[in-house]
Amino acid sequence: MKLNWKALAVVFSASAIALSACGGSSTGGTSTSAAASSDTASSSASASAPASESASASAAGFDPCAATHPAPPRGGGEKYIVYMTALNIGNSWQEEAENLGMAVAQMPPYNACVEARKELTDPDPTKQISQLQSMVDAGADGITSYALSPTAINAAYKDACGQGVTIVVYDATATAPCVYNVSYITSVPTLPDGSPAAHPFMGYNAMDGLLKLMGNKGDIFVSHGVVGTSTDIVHYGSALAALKNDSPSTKILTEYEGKWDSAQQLKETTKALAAFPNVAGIFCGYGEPGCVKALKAAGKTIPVSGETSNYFRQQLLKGWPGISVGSPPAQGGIGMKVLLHVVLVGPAGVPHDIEVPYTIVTKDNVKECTGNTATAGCNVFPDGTVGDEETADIFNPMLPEASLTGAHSGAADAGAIATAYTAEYLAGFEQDPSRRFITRAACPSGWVEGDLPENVKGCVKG
Amino acid sequence: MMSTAASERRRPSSQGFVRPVVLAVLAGLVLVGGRLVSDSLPSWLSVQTLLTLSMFIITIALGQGLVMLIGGLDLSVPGVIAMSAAILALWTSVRGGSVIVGILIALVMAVLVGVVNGFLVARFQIPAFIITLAMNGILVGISIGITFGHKAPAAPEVVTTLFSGSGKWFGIGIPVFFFVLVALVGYVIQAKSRFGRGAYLFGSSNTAARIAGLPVERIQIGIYALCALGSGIAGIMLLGLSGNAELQLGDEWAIPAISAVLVGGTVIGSGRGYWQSTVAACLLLTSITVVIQATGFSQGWKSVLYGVVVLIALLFTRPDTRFSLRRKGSPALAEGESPTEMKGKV
Repeated sequence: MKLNWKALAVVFSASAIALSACGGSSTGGTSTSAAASSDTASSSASASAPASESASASAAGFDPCAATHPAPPRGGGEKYIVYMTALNIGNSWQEEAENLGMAVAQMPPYNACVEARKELTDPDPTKQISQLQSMVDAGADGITSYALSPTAINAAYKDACGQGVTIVVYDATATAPCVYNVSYITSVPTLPDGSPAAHPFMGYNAMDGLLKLMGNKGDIFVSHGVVGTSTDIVHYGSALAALKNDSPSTKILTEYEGKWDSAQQLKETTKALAAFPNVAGIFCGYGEPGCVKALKAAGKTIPVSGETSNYFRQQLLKGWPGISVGSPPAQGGIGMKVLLHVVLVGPAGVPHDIEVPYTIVTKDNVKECTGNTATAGCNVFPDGTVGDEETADIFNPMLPEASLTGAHSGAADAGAIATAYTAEYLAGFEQDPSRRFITRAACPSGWVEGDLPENVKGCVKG
Repeated sequence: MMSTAASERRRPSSQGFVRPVVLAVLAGLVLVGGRLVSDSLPSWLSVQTLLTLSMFIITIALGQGLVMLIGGLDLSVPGVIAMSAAILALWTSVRGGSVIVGILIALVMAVLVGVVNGFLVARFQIPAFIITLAMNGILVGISIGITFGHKAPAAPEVVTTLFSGSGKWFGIGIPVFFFVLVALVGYVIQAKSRFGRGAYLFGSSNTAARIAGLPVERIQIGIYALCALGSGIAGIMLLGLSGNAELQLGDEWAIPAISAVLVGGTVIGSGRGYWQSTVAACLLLTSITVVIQATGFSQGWKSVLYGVVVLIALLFTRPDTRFSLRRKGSPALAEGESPTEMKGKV
């Protein structure tokens, strides 16, 4: 038989392009089967005083599978089907967030009545919409989703909600009212000494900490994430407010787009250093290893504010002047637990806007973890045990059952047991109404749109 | 009166000298002009930065320039970069293998990718950008597949020392030496080797190359293999720069390499273009980005400014526009000139 090579080559090309363009690569359903045991999950969370107090209020021993469920499984089976999704961008943060969500859903008590499935989403809103529809058609009872846009996915979210599917989005938020937003974006972080910060927002506190490390002297570079995204706007706007409040004489020598990518941060910081070798500090977004490596190559050691990579935390441990504050991937696991509560127990009393706690780390409170689970106050893993780019913040007061192996594998550790939420516990993390506009583009009743002291549009009583 | 053919014969050598000199002088003027926006420009640090960043770009542009010379475009460059970096990092940091063996495996895999690209383009006459775009998707997928579940693979220390700028020889950053090395190797390959001459002849006229008895299919496959080899080497260099094998490692470098080839005066599918011009154009474009970085403009305005400057550079440096440094003539096959004469020309 004579093969038509040209046709074969065309088919090859078309298939490859289609495959690379095609969204959601399903990694298959994973029925929960973690071994149950009577051991309790280690749960001594790192972190802040107020958050830790709240953590102790979650309901150890409460079995949501034994609760009266608001509705039977949509798929008609014995178990509720929940999906954990993350972006398919080869990013360790996304991988950790998804794995933490999968791991907790496979722990007792949830595994008795829940089947957890995981999906990867290509970073394209249209593909995310069609993927959501597929999950709804497959009988999903709940979907934990990373919203690619605050508004572009809303129609698909509303459609899913209308069919009785619970939607929780984590980290990035969505404005659709039926969606539960679980995010750190508007939270007030905890300071290294355990007290709550005076201002909310990561950007504000990162700039504030950077300027303190600089003694409010000298000028800085500002590295953006992806310019124009809602999170970058909030981080940048609030950082400028801190600059104005703390040290108005400090100049921004240059700004550049780091795109939340270490290689890009390194390239742009290297160029900036060539023009301004006397810079006194760098406000660096996610991908901060790039900023530090560029400084090292230039032989400079100056204060850097960065996010939560293990590399950066290790540098703090070794004495680099810096402040580490950023988005915790624990949000994936926390989002899944919120979802499981709403699906299994019901929505009564659960706020739609939940602020995830996080802690600022400096040389004063950086502490190496010695095991697989959180030990009091630990916030960085030993050199060589995890990759440089991996996020060190997998432990969180709201996710005491998290483990390093779970964050890597997406499976429940043998003997681990999840501590289920209660509505009362979650109510303690409800977002302050003054910050509602940032995540919902609307203010609650009795509030009107207005500027917050942190240079961010929010809500004021009116 | 001098014949047209004789005049055509003289132009290539002058263009091969004048254009790169003009572009390199412009690059220097841009750095000096940077003093207007930063007191620290120009400086030895800025020159080292310029050469370090240019090293990555010319390593990619070496093969990409030849691909464009023969009318193609290799869009699999980011995928090859990600793959070679992932292979070396996994081999050394996860499997504990030797760096040399890891580099060899990464480069052999890169060359294989190039051979497949070249074979598909040459044998089936499918537009190169379709084949290479498809290949890029496959390679990114493979890179996700081989790194997923492992701890993020780190660069071997020796690679970091060589390419991150932290290592020095005689007080000079090591990448500066690699820049010179790549520039020289590129010159030998493109201007002095039989393979390079064949590529130019194929670019100027596929038919003429066939009549001249050149193995055109092998030349095409060789060019794509060289392009992939350059991308593979760039992947190893970028792994050293960033310290970790990230999937997006090559995304920001493929387009600057194409820009350098175009601003250097290579006309796609014409057999016209000089490696030394590409190197000089790379210096010019990189010096522009360093100075734009120093302007303090917001990111949006910086992007606009860079785009406008590249457009102006294209208008004034391309041999196929009315504003160009050279208004007429080309090293391409002149009317009445035989392929044999052309071979001597390149």
